Order: sequence, then C-alpha cells, then structure tokens
Amino acid sequence: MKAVCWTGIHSMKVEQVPDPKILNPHDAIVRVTSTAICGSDLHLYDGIIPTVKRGDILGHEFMGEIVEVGSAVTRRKVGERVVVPATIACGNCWFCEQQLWSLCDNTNPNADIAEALMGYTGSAIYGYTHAFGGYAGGQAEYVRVPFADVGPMPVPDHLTDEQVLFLTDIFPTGYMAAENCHIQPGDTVAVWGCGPVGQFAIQSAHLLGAERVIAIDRVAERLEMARTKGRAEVIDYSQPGQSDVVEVLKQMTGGRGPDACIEAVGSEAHAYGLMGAYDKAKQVTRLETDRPHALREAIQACRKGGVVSVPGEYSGFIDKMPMGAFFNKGLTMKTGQTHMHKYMRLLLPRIEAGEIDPSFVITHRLPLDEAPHAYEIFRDKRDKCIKVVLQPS
Amino acid sequence: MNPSETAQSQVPAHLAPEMPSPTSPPADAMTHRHMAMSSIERLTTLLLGGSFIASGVMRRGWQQVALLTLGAGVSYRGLAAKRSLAATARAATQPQELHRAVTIQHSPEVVYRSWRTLENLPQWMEDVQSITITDERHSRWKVRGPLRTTVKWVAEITDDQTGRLIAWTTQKRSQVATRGTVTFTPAPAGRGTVVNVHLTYQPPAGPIGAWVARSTGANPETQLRHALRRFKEIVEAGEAPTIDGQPMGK
Ligand SMILES: NC(=O)c1ccc[n+]([C@@H]2O[C@H](COP(=O)([O-])OP(=O)(O)OC[C@H]3O[C@@H](n4cnc5c(N)ncnc54)[C@H](O)[C@@H]3O)[C@@H](O)[C@H]2O)c1
Ligand SMILES: [Zn+2]
Ligand SMILES: [Zn+2]
Repeated sequence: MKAVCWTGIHSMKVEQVPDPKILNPHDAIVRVTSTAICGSDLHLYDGIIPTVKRGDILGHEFMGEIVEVGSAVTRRKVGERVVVPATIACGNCWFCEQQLWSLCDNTNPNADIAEALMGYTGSAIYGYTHAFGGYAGGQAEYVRVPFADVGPMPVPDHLTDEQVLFLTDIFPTGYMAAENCHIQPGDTVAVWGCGPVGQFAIQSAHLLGAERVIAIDRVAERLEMARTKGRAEVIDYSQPGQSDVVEVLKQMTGGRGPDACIEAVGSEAHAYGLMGAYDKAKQVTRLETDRPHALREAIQACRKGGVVSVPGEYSGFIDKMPMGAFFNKGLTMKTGQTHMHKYMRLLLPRIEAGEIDPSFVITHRLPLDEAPHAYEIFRDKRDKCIKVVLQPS
Repeated sequence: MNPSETAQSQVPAHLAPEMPSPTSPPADAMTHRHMAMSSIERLTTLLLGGSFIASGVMRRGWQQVALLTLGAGVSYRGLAAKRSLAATARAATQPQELHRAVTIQHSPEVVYRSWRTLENLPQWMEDVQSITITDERHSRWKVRGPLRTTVKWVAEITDDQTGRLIAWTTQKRSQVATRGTVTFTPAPAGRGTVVNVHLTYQPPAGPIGAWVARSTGANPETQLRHALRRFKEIVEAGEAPTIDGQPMGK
C-alpha cells in the first residue's frame, strides 16, 4: 500500500510499504477514505519531538471502512464506516473507566520511554513518535486499529467524510479546551492561535455560552476565518498598535482581562524580538525543548482567578515560565491530550443536528500522493492553507 | 493512606533475605548501594541525552536510530537511575532485594487467580521460556539468561492464600536463588487491587554476571518492571500492546 513516511526533518515521502496485518486479537484493519494533517504532525515534521524514526508512517486523523477484524473483536464489524480517535485506549483500566481516555495505562508498548520522560505513560497515539507507542499512522491506504471495540465510532451515511473526519481529533480538542474554561454567563474567552484547533476552540466557546471570543494570530486568512466563521473579535499582533497583546486584551475587556485564555499554539510559538530569539536559540541547542511564548502571554493576560486552558502541545521543558503571575493571580491551568473517545461521541449528535459543520476549516483537498507538498504549504502557511484533507484513492 | 500502598516491606519474617553474615558489607557500603545519583549528575546525563536525541533527529539513516536510542537510554538513566554503576558492581555479590507495586482494575480474587495460573506466566514474563507444573506446589522453570544462556530452576510455593498472597522460593539445587512474595490488597474506592511484589535474589555468577545482566538490559529490576506492566495489560486489557510486524517505510 501507499503510506506517508517521515524520512527526516522537513522530509516526508509517499512510499510503497507492506499492508498492515492483524497483530493482536482486538485489532481491526481500516481502509482509509480520508485523512488529515494536524498541527501536531508539524512538530514531528520540524523535528521538535524526539523518537521519530526514519520510515515511520504518520497521521492520527483518519476514517474509513473496516475491512478485517481480529478474533476477539465483538462490537465492530467488517463493512462499517467509522471515525477513529487519534489516541488508543484499552477501555478497561481505571483511567478509561473515568473517561480519561488519553491517560489509558495499557496501550503504549514503549511505556519505558514515556515513564522516563514523564514519570508515567499516557495512551498511545497513532503515528506520533515512539515515545507515544510508535504505532503506524493513518496517512496511508490502510491502517491497523488496536482495541477496535473501544475506539472506532460508526458514523451515519448521510454525513460526508468531511463533516465527521475532525471528530478524530481537532473538534474534540477545541471543545475540551473550551469546556475546561468553565465558561460562565458574560465570560470573555481569548484564544491564542487560529489554526484548526484554535478555530474549533472558538466555535466551542460559543457553543458553551461565551459572551465574547477574542482570537489572536498574525496570519490574515486565519484571523479572517475566526472573524467570519467563528464570530470572534480579532487581534493581529503583527500590526502596529496590536503587538502588546496583553495590553490590547486588557483594554478590550474594560481593564479586567479575559476570564479564560485558551492557548492553541503549542511548543513552536512564534515571537518577535528578544524573547523570540532567546527561545529559538535555546530550542536549537536543546537547553529548552519547547518555545512557550503564547503560554507566557496567556498567563500574563488572564484575569485574576481565571483559567488558562492549554490544548497546544508541549513535549519537554520550558523556560521563563511566569510562575509568579500564575501564583499571585490565583490562576487554574487545565491541559492534556484530548479524551477523544468521550468527546467524539458527545459531538457527533451536534453535527447531526446541524449545530456545527466542521468542514468549514478545510482549505485544501489533495490526493495522498501530494502529502509532501501538503506538509510544506501547511507548515509555511502558503496558498492560504489552514487544513488539508488527503484522499488515499 | 492504605498501608498496602506504601513502599514498606511487608515480607513475612521467614522470607527476609539471608545475609551471609561473615561477609556482610559495612553499613556505609549498604547506604552507598541505595544512594541516589546526585541531581547534578542526573541533570548532566539528561542534557547529554537531550543532545544525543537532538543530533539523532538531525542525522539520517541507521545512525539516527542508534543515536536516538542512546539519547533515550542516557536520558532514562538520568531520570530513573537510583544507583551509580560503581555502586551496582560493588553490590552485585550481595543478595538483592526488589520491591515493586502495580494497581490492577479488578478484584483481588481475579488478580490472584491470574497470577496463580502459572501456565500463563510466560505470556507476561519476558524471558520465561517454559513453566512445567509438577504438582500443586512445584514447578520447573526455563528462563533465557544473559548472553544466550538458559537458566533453570525449580520453584516451590511456600504460602498460598487465595485472593491474598502467594510466596515462593527456588529449591536448593537451582541455578538461581530467589524467593519472593506477592500480595493482593483492595485499593480504596473501586480503584482495583494493589499488587505488591517483593523479591530477594542472588545474582548468577557473582558480580560479573550481574554487571553483564545489567548492561544487556536483562537485569531483574527491568524484568520485574516489564513483567508487572505486561501482567496488568493482559489482566485488564486482555492483550499486551505491540507494534512488532507493522509496516514501515525505508
Ligand atoms: N491537546 C491535544 O490533544 C491536541 C490535539 C491536536 C493538536 N494539538 C496541538 O494544538 C496546537 C495547534 O494545532 P493546529 O493544528 O491548530 O496547528 P497550527 O500550526 O495550524 O496552528 C497554530 C497557530 O498558532 C499561530 N501562532 C504562532 N505563534 C503565535 C503566537 N505567539 N500568538 C498567537 N498565535 C500564534 C500560528 O500562526 C498558527 O495559526 C499544536 O501545538 C498541536 O500540536 C493538541
Ligand atoms: Zn491532530
Ligand atoms: Zn485503558
């Protein structure tokens, strides 16, 4: 089959590889009909997260048709059309029982690496480094899906792939980020990053009753999408007079600050000036693995007693964390890999009811063969690229 | 706090390690054995590990994988190592004591039964080639040792309390001298069963054997950690996760 393989930093190749096989009794094989590239994949593309190996098949946002099931699979059947959550969960451990699916104890075959880095391992993620299990991902014609009775969710025929594909990751991620804000009537929510995750966080903040949403980025078409599709007020921090995001937010909120701040940027935040140069130098020399500029800003900007919700991804260590501001303002931070299994089942009915059509973020539809080009334009934000969907056939 | 969750040794007195008293090391050697790697040492190995990982990412080909592995290994040492290599070598002639705990989301009866079904042990103990049950209390073990050797022993169950505890020891003429006990205690508020394992073992072939075992990764600490993880995976999830045999590009 054809698969999108990581072959080095900024080097993706579509290669011919063997078809996946059932390896464990609870496995299924899915023929992929649609798959997407995520901002998280860019961290691997850029070589920011260690333990990717040459030849690894990437992709954790995918859906398709079940073509084979293992001997212990009882609930899923060949022929079903399913969306598959990005994280892999066993369904039986204490964490799974608590609906903390992304913290599942039992799915990472490389738990040693994760335990060494973090003390404990969370769930594995498809196509997302060997520290997260090393599972082959879904940017391919076929993919092996472990614990097929637990993860994959059948979707109704009348919804298109494009309407349900993002239940695999970014819609649940934006939604959980907004839910973590405990939005109260009258609340203003500020969202750093207007990539796909930011866009779904904006939409979800409205679904959960935010009074106002303010979106921050510097890419014109992304801010435009936040404004028109997400009914957000926007701050373009590349514009003169808007570069001091903390101050601009303060004045937009009557001097109080946003009640909740969502950081949907992650470990490769862009920053102008000295601080940006400082983080970049430290990241290159590995004295700091992550560049937390947006996180620092969110902590600084948040109103006293507010919530900082962080769907943006971090993998290692950060520097110059404004702990004093965090402590003295009595903030709360909520974060983590999303509990996809829970939220995808919660959000499908909202799509069916027409409350939201997640396909609004898609700007590019390309054949799988063009994945290398797709990674390039998505990373460099060329051709007004916001979200790419790849079709294997 | 549930006392079963503390790291305190609960080994019954008759299972306490026998220290060969005439050759017992002085007290300071013992403390050295348990001495943690200093935090500076740890930080240095961490950063070193980081740089291996970093250069591994930059490079291409097999070297990269090697460097990455090395990086992860060194970092792992930095994060997890409890003793220095020198201390390990010094300690190797002494009987070693290990304790490890894991919590499993089932009743003590179910977890006990899974453990007591010795025939299933090779599923979750890597390196165990076969276990032959000879009677209610005795079993013959064949285990892969370091450097393609096979180690054999006969194990005897010395105490067996359904749903609570199993204790065992290897018989006199076995190649390996170990004794151990596993207890099954309910965790609070529906959190499953706490499994506490205490092992005492005499490293095979003295200090060299222990050092080799340690440096090939087949040391008892790692084995116990892996065994308990797999045991939990199989009891809870019905299978141990794997990626062996999946496709990969060039
Ligand atoms: N928690 C989870 O489970 C989960 C799931 C999916 C993605 N993620 C993470 O969410 C983050 C965003 O994902 P995405 O797909 O939207 O990625 P993306 O790269 O398309 O979007 C990031 C956006 O942040 C903007 N940005 C950069 N620096 C900024 C700054 N200083 N201030 C404001 N905006 C800034 C960029 O211009 C870009 O539009 C990534 O870190 C990704 O790994 C997490
Ligand atoms: Zn994703
Ligand atoms: Zn689980």
